[in-house]
Amino acid sequence: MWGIPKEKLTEFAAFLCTDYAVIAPVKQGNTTAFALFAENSELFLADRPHYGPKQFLFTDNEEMFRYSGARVRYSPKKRVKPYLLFLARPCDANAVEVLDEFFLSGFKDPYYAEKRKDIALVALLCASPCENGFCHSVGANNVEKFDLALWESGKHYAAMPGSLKGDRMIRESGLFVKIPDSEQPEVKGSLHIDKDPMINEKTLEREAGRCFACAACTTVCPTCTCFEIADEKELRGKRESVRRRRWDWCMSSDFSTISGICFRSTKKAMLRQFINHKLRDFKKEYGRHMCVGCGRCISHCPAHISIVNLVGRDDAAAAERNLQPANDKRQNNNDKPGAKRAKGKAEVSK
Amino acid sequence: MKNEYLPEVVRITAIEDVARDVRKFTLGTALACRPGQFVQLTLFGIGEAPISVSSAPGEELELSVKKVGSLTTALHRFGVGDRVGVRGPYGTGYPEFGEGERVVLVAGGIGLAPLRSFIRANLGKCEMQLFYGARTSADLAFKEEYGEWQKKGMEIYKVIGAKEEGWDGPVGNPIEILGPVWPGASALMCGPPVMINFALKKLEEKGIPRNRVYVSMERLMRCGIGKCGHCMVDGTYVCRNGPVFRADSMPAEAP
Repeated sequence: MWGIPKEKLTEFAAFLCTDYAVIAPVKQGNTTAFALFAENSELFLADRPHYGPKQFLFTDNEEMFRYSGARVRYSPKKRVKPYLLFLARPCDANAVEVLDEFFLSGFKDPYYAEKRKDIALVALLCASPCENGFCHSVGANNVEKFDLALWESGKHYAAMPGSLKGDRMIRESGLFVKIPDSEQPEVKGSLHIDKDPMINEKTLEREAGRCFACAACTTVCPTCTCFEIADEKELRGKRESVRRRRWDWCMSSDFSTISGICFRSTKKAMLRQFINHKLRDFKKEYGRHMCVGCGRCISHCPAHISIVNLVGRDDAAAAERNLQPANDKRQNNNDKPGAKRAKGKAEVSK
Repeated sequence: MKNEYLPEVVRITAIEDVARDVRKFTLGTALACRPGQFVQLTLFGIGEAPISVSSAPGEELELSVKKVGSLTTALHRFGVGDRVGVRGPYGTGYPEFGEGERVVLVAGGIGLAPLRSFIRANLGKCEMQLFYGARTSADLAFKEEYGEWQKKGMEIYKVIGAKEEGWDGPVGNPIEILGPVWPGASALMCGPPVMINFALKKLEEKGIPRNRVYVSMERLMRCGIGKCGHCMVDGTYVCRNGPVFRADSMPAEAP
């Protein structure tokens, strides 16, 4: 079968740049993220990067249209090359499938569809579980649709084409060599949840006391799709304005309101909405979970709250695995910071 | 691919005050709306908000808007000829009723706006009772139309929140005037959540079970088409699965 020497991967990325805008996992200072691959980019291969590739397809602070001269105009930026998602782990490849299911069904989202069009995928299958991952529990530890799949095999990455495009990448790059056959790995995440998990209300009650409602979980989630829409007046002319949408999340206490009154302002209720949407509601409609088990929400949580501990486990087991709640005042007073953030808006649900 | 987020630019063709702080804006477009549906109204450079339709199907689009927040306050400064944006209609509407069917309408305050659409579409077709409460007599909307509605056979019961000079009707809330409700009828409801909760109990006592009551729910919405996530309640999108729900299947969340 085909394989590429490990040290040739950067060269391969550079080769792909001739036909594609390559989105690759790269080092960025102390962190790692998907970014457009450039000459001086340093690929990050050890693990899934800290941040997923969502920003490229569902873009934060994206222009929806401009209004001027009594007309509404949406003109997408012209992209010469289609995107190629390079070395996406199964979690992130599955995350794109989840975004597809959501944005391309019902009322199709033209902003997403335009960027998603003709995207190519070079997946990097995981050889070992990553910290906090539970991809296998949600069926996202493997990739079904790809153009090229790579996985570690000694000094090479074994390569399996999944489409004509992928086949062409192998042949035309001139970087691939024949290597001994290697079995495609199917890794299990380090954590586990039930197939159809249920929130453990007792654990939720306790854990929510530590939540800061900082929305780190929803911000780093590669499948969170909620957004806010806002208009801005253009300074150039009184009658010109631009409408943008930016990422928004259920972990903000003023996300859900009626006439300015919050109806989901407790940490407990916000966490419940987040988890139920990820692991219950989405599946009812689309037949798969909205969660890909990447574990980023766990890794990034400053309060050490884990979605895995909040679902489907009996309380004793969860408590054992978990940090004990810090013995501080927040425990008894857990809704105050969120309430403040709602800027004087009354709270109905306590 | 149609971009559902782009509003159609239309002009305001008429403005009428229909209650204190409530203005009815007629827009130069006729959308195929069913009673109970809503549109997304854009004030360019200011923002967008879901507004229920208060005109009947086939009529020029009418939106009756109360001055409550920043967008609605801005709209009240708009004049005839000014341009706004509209997209929709969205959401489920009220169910359809046959000739001569009995329908009880319960409204609080500006909650009469979507029901007005139903009334205009069904006057002389359905038998209707309206139970309507507002804070003061000045807050009772569409007063000028009551005469015509009654002439076409509708029973109207009004109530206001506190005693007032020149008011000889009952004082209290809409629940207290539900006495003459037709048992076994269907009911449509729109108003503040507190009113809805109590009215549902009262209607049940009066022989209208929850599976015959349809309620307009209200939630902040940004997109109106099941994408932005703001109106999600326990897995249900109020914009797409509602805003009209049968009372026995209204989504609700634990605190």
